[in-house]
Amino acid sequence: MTFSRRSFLHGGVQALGAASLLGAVPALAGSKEQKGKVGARDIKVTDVAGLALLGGAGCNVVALGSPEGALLVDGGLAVNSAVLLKAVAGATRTSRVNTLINTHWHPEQTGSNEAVGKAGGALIAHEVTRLALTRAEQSPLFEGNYGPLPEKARPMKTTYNAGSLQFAGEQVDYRYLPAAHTNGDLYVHFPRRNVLVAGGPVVGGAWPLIDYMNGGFMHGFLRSYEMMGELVNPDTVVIGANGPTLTGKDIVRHKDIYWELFKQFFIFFNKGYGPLDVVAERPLKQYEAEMGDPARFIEYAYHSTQLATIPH
Amino acid sequence: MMSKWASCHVKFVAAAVAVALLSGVPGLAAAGNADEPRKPDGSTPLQWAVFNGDLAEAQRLLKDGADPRARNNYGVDAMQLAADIADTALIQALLKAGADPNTANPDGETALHLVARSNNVEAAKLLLKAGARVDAREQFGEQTPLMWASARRQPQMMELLISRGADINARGAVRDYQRVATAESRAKSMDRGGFTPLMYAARENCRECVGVLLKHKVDVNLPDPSRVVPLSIAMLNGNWDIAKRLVEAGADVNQWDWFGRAPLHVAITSMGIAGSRSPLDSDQPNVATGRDLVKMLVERGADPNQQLYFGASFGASADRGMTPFLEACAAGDMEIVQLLLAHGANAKLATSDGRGAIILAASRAGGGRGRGGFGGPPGGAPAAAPAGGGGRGAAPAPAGGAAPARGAPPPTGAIPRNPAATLAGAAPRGGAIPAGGGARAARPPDPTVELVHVLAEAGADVNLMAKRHFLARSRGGSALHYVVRGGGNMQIIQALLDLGLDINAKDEDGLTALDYAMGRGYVPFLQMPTPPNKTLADNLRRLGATVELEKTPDWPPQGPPIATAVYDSVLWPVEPVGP
Repeated sequence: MTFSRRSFLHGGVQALGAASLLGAVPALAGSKEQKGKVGARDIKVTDVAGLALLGGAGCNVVALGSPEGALLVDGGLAVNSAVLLKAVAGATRTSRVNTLINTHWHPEQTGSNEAVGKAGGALIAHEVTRLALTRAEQSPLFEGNYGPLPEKARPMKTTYNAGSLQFAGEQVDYRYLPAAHTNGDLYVHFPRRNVLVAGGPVVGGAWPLIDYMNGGFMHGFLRSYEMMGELVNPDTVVIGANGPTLTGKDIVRHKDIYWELFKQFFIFFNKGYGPLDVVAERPLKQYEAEMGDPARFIEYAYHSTQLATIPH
Repeated sequence: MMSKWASCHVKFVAAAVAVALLSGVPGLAAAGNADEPRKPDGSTPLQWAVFNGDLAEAQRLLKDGADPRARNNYGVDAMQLAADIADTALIQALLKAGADPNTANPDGETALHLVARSNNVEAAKLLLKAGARVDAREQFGEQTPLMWASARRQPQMMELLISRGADINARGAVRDYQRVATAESRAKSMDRGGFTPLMYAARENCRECVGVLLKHKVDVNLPDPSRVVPLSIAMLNGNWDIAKRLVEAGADVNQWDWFGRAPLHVAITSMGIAGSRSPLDSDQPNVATGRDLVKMLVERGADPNQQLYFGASFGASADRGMTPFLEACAAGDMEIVQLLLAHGANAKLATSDGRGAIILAASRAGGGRGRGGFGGPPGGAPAAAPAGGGGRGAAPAPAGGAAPARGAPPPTGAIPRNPAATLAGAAPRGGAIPAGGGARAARPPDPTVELVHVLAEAGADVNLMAKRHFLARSRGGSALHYVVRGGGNMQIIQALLDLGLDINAKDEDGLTALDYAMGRGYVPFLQMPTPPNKTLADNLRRLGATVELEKTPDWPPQGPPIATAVYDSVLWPVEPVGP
């Protein structure tokens, strides 16, 4: 698997946007992680309500320690798995990963599955994520194929809807976000800490992307914000797939932005527009200063709406 | 002054000459010498001779110095005309006279492309020996001669081309159409291209072509741009023998496409297709059947629970979440249902709008794929577009795909004349409800009753409530709502109640099944309200229905705005549709 120049640039834009807003991620970290391998120094650890948030390995990784090992949400790129897991061990003071939850199947999220699975850790994901990891997958978000992963790297516990687990004495909930970023997204909620790990549909300080080739589409993406909006309160800390943390208030605001965009899509539909026509209309121009260039987000979102609603 | 007769005569002769020139009548248009001026379309006497297959004339003109490389105003030369009729002797004569085997017309089609459509292997050999590029690409679809041979069912030609190095996994141009709405102002599917020789052979039902490609180790899993695999393409067209060969050759039985549709899904939804309708296949029908393929796929590990990402058409967006197993339930195919259950089918799964196995099975008696229509009996949803289109031989409407038309005869199992006498107590499982008074013979048991019981035993939730779905023209509700809207098959109603279905359950509109029987259902834009079926309503009351509205609601004249309707139409799995 390689990364396209486009995704590289996108990653860079996201990181720059994030850094300029909150300064949580070094300006070049995003671009570097999109290139691939990073060193131990590139893994940045931040405390978020007692959880360790690790950035730099390909995506935001969240860790919670316990005497039985760590709970990990997402695992970064495979090429960074070793340095990431070392950083996790340091941040959580545990020697092993007890449980790893994949928010979806993309390589940035599942790169530590093999190491964790082979060491006896439990892997949890949506059933669609498991199925995706059993074969060579493609996506507009990266070039080439990803997978199939070895048997030990595939989630052994899956859900179609929702589940909970008790970890280190606290409840951890996960729930399906249908057809949002892929067709197998989960969010992970730490209710006691008021922290929501949102996964693919959310990116801090930049536009997320919809993997329209793998079941993500605008309707579900929007619905995912509704579902998260029902869960959070204004102070909830929301951790997206990349970038700095957001709040529950941001999620509600973003939901309104996406809903307005979705309604505009049907005006564009009636004009016979294609994705690039919609990009040229700049329907999100008032947010460009805050969130960066939305071109790729709009292109994929509109493409997904075409796919989901036009006979094929 | 010219007489009227003379004027007509002149016009007739002029017309005759024009026709002769254009049609190339030998002796008029074709005859000539190498130096003769070109015709209005730029064609030369040599081209006319070749066009007419006149070898002697062509040889004479070439001997007199005719230029074999000359092109007419459309960029066509004599070699392409010879290749178009795959005339070996003419091709040989032209090559000997210096014709270029690689010249292409403005569309990039070479002589080898043209010959590849025929079974004239000798002509192709001549061209290849003279240096024709075996993998030349025409410019419209970037197709190779091998693709053309495959699409025209020429296995010997394919064997030759492959032996000379043709790429058996080559892919045609992939078109990414930005705009999918046309002047008709309606969005529509656009061909994305990107086919391989194997896909053409699978689509065209060329069993020998597939054999040649498999012999040369073609990649059987290389998908089209929407990730539809050759196996699915064969089945979408009812080419079951080819599908069988592909499975035996190791095709991935679980490779799903952009729409989440895996081969097992295609097999079940296409089972009704008998096979190729090409006259070329009339004397060799398929030996394998769709049912055989379903069994093969399942035995090789096909997942009966793979869910669709998207419905297969605009109105079928509710089919998101549909699985092969649910398709079998919707088709009412007990054999396939039991086969899939034995291979791990999950009877608890449902579509995104909450139609589970029992709703889909029960509603096929009238509602069609669980769409269920709007109003009361016997009105129903318009015929649903068949799921899983895309094949050239489009699938016929699935079993139960169309609701009965207004005024149509009542469905099997309609209301007995004396329901009070027949409805007391539970009907025997799968058994007929005896007709009142003994005046009529008992109706045969409806197979759907047995199916519903099998599904319930497998864990399907009889009380699952589907959501309403504007684009699918469904108002949702329980299996009972669907059955009542579909005509009210009393055997199925009794079976559902026996399984514990709440007869007074309300759908999202707040209506019970009894309300639908009383014709109080939603009235779509520009449609008449459905009249009440008092007999059915009385039967439901006798069975315990007590909750109903006092009057028909004031339904809004139109549905919600399109964005809201589309958004609402993509509904989400709600507990307990999945484990």
